[in-house]
Amino acid sequence: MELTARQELLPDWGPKITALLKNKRVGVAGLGGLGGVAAYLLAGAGVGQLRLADGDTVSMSNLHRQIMYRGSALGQSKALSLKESIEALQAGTELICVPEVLTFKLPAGAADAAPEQLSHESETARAFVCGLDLLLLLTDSVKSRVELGALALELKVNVLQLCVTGFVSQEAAFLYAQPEFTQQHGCSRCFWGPYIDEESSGQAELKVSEPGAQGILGPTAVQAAAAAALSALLLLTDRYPAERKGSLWIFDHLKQQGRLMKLRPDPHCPLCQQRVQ
Amino acid sequence: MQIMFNQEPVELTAPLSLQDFLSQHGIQAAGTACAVNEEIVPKSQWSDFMLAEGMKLDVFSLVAGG
Ligand SMILES: [Zn+2]
Repeated sequence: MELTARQELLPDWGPKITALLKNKRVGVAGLGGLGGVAAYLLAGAGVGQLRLADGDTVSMSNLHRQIMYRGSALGQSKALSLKESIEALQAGTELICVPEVLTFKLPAGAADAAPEQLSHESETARAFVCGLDLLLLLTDSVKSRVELGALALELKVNVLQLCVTGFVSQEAAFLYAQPEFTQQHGCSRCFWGPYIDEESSGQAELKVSEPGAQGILGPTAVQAAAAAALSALLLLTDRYPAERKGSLWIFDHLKQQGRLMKLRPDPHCPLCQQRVQ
Repeated sequence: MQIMFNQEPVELTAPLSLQDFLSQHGIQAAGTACAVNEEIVPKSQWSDFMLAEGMKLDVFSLVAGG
């Protein structure tokens, strides 16, 4: 039996789709409650290449929601431990592992980024994002979401971002591979504006007010992770719902209800609106 | 002038910018997003954005956990 046998029984998810997914490259930044589970599900769905990045190690307080890690992995790198779990699936997924936090220092004007000026860390991040069909931004830091979002914008790589805290998850797809997208909906820098110190706007060093760690139930995190994996498959197969494109999907896990808010560009955004000004 | 604020009717006595409305309600900017008629208003526009009769204002926290 093939790993994708049950998936292929679905109408419109037959061997053609399996072959299509086999040719897709997906990056997962952040391998916690969201990214770890999502990466595992994407490997199971037959995605050909997964790039996995997280600098964190497995700790006891992770295990209630990060169900792909075992107690035997405590203290080990999440990226390397997840690699082992996915390899055990024998899905034939090509795995590229980066057991470190991806950081990317923003250039003052994104369009002028000169590759030779990049630090070693920024080079690592660039190599991670370059050539992806989809980047899943599932880290627990606003700063890294802004930085990697900027890098994806520059490299025209589509981004799926999902965040979860308490009983709320929020999902947005930034379709940077589509030329009109940022004009209509802005970029992740526009989106995270409420967390960015305005005085740092346009400067290389971003000042970001990070929210502290908050509580979460295992089932909430796993549901959000599965939602991220499903949305990733829909984006990769060009079936993401039209009304979700360019929108923030806010999901209430207690009521199991969602609502949509349209994403709009910040006219002062130094990354995506420079040419318009 | 009446607006809907997080699905509750609110009466405004004078013209008010979105920023002033948030200040009056003691809402901190950090991590807060605003949408008017289901469209997000970027933070840099809050001071210039004037609330008007019948607008549907949603103020919510941007969550950031992963
Ligand atoms: Zn932008």
